[in-house]
Amino acid sequence: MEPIRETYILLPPGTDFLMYLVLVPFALVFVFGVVYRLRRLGVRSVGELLNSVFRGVGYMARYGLLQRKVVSEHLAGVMHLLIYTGIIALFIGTTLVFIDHDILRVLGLRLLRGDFYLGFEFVLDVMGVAFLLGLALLIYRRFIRHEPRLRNRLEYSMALAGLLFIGLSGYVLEAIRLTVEPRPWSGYSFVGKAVSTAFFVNLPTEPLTLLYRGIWWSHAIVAFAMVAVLPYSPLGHIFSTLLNIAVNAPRQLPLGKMKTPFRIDELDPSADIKLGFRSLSELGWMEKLGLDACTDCGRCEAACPAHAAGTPLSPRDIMQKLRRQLWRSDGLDEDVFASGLIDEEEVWACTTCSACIEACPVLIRPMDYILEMRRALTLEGKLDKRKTAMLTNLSRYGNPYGFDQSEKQKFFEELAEMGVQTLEEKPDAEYVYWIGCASIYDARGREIAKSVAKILLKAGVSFAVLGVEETCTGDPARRIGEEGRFQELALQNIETLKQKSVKKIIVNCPHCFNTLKKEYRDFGLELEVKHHSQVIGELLRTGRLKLTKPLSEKITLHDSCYIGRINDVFEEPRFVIQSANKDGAYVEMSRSGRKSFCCGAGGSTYWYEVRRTDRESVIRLREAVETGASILAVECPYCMQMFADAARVTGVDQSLKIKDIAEIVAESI
Amino acid sequence: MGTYRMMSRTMPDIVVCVKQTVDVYQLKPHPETLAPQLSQAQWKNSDFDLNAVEEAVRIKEKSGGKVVVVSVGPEVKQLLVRECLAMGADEAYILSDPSLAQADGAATAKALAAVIKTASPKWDIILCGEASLDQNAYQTGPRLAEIFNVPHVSYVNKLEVGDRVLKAWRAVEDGVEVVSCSLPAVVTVGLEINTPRLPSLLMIRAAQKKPLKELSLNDVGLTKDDLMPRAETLEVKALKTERRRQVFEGKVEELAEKLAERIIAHMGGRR
Repeated sequence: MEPIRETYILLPPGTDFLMYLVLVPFALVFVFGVVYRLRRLGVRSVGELLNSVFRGVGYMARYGLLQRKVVSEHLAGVMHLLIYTGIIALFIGTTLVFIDHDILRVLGLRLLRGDFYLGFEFVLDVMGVAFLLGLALLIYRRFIRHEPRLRNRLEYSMALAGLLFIGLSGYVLEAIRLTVEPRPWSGYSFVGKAVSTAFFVNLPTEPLTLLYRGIWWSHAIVAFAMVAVLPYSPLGHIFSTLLNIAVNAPRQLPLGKMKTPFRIDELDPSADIKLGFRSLSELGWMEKLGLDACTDCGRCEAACPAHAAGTPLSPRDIMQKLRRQLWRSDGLDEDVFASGLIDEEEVWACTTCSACIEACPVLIRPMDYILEMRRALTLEGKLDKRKTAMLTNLSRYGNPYGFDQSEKQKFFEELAEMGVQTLEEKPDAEYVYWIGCASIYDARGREIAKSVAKILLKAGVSFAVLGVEETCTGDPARRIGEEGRFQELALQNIETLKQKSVKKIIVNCPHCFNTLKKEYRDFGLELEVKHHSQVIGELLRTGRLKLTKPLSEKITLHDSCYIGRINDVFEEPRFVIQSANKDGAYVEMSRSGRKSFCCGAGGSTYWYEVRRTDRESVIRLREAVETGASILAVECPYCMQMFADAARVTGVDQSLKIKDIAEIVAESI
Repeated sequence: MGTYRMMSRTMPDIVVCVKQTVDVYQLKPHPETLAPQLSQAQWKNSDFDLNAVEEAVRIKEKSGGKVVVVSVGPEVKQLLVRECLAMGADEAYILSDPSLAQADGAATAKALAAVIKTASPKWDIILCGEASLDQNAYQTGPRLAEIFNVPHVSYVNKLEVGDRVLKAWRAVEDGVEVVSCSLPAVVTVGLEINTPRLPSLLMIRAAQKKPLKELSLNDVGLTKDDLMPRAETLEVKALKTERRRQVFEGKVEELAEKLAERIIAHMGGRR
């Protein structure tokens, strides 16, 4: 007797027809939901949708189907992979049964027979186990380990119950079938066989058959119902995340680059002004799709420094609140601030560290939404005193501190005494060393600039400074949402740099680095910008800089957001530290590289206060102390100031020295 | 006496007087003459007056009405006036004349009153900063009230405007005095009354659409003689200060003791 799939066994004739009849309303509910959801997002035509999806098929394959970012977190990744592959396998299995029974059989052919059928039974039993294992992990994470970032809602529990029921009832059905109608090949359905042996053998056939029919129908109806509610429930993320990845990934800007919504020099003064958004109706369907795809996994929240520091911000909450607003009947037109949905402080707390973007498994960018809302707030100018003062200082004095020219002059005179020349004195210099406000005006920051200058002079690098002509790049203005004042500064700097034919720039401030390198491109200036860690690394590798006094310290490095995660410079600072610290040791903090944790100064948050229960800098400093290092190396003057304050507050300023990598190198020359 | 509206209305028309001053925080004295180096200084709207604009805009946001900005001076800068328009004022009138370079409170009030009579004769409230950033004379607002013969309330740090009446909280030496008076009236406000909004650059650009009109002395019926200051400024000089550059050495406790002694001695022995 050849093994063959016996579909609708133990069921009265006509069940197949009846099942399809029952399926119809569920399918209609599903289709209606999909159409409703896409319409609500503002998708105008299927063609437009398919066009956008087509452009992002590669991303969809990589980050959707292959789950590249989902698996980056181990337990959650394994859990999701098990459930995901389980569901796909079971879906393929059911599709094969449909093809076998409803198409091929009618044509007098069969697919599920012989060895292929046996393999089919075996593989589906294995995948069913994977699926249930995944659900078990889910239960463990949510209800036993109580992972703090996982939130319990009724709809999540119902989805879990539905999936669990489908998985378990499938095996029960198989077990009863093998009990009532035993087959010689039943060992291939090893789980069903085991369940049968454990619970059903020796039970009378007739009630078992009745039980089978009952469970069969409930299995079918629960499965149909889950499909029907897909567009209305969290399980809809199956589609919304895939769509989001395909549609939004290809058009996302590189990290660290903000959208340029207008050019101030090309602006028609009589045009209506609009910047950012205050209600969801101001978003395009692609942005709304990004909101809709948020599955409440909480990875962004767990990575968010502002959340860890007890500010009102959680990127997940922002996304979830906006997402729910999307489906509320009058939600699209409501002002998110006036309605109380979003607290302004949530928006101000963001340090623009981009950790939420890095964390999101499905390529959603919570930070982009936060910054666009910020822009809308700043446009109206209802800012507190500190924000107002910083922006006024930028406009009036060209630096966020509000120091006048003489202060700048004083420092450049100090540099001149060291032998640093201005571009005017040395017009053929290869590099311009752009010092940045934090190292021009702040006393501690000045030490960094002097160390950089000492190294460059020692190595004989051909460089000059702009001197008093150097002003703020505009970064704090752009990140606080004041696009106009940013562009005013940017255009002025670009004119200066172009006039002096500057092509290559060295910076020691990651914020200047990012702005000069990435943001000025939108305004027609391409520069070769190097962070001092890169320059020093190069000098060491080529032997132009020799270190004669190796340090013997235990050093750890804090990766700054704008050099590390946002601009992918990880190797050079480590190489530089290790070269200078030949006789010592280098240790990593628990979070480092791409997963580094912001000091709390980015995104212009250095310049104002947000209500909070803790400080990012203190949290991070504790991590540095845990390594047992004697020096915390930094690569950013703002990180330096944040940690220096944190060290004083926590009383570790005697045991842990905070130094810029330039200072470490300068000491070992 | 101005011709203002006597009918009862709920939407007040507000005139805000804004002075443009040099940024005194950035003003550097000449190293030898000690005279302030005005030619290098940057100009800005006087801080107190921005509080007045903000308060006017807030009243407008709440009760409606119109906000008119008036600025007089030797060389009123349009861009700075646009900042006030960008904050939410509806229109602006400026009077630039070199004779205003030496203006004191009396001359300024006279010039402002003439502009107001010409350009915006129907008003319910005139709001001014209680003093100016550069001269700190506290004169202009009260003098304006005298010219128009209306009540004035000064040093206001909280203001409520009702129907033909206002209620004001005045910061006086011993505490807060709450007063009310009928409209029209002149109110001068302090820095504590609000935080002026900072118009974004985009808003300042957009404010180019709002009416801003330059007037001449002739337009407002004044002559240079009318603007002669009552007081004559003979000389402006910075105080010359020098640090004592005293260094104490020793243990922290002793240092604190020494420092305290020095401070007490410096204050004439009073603790």
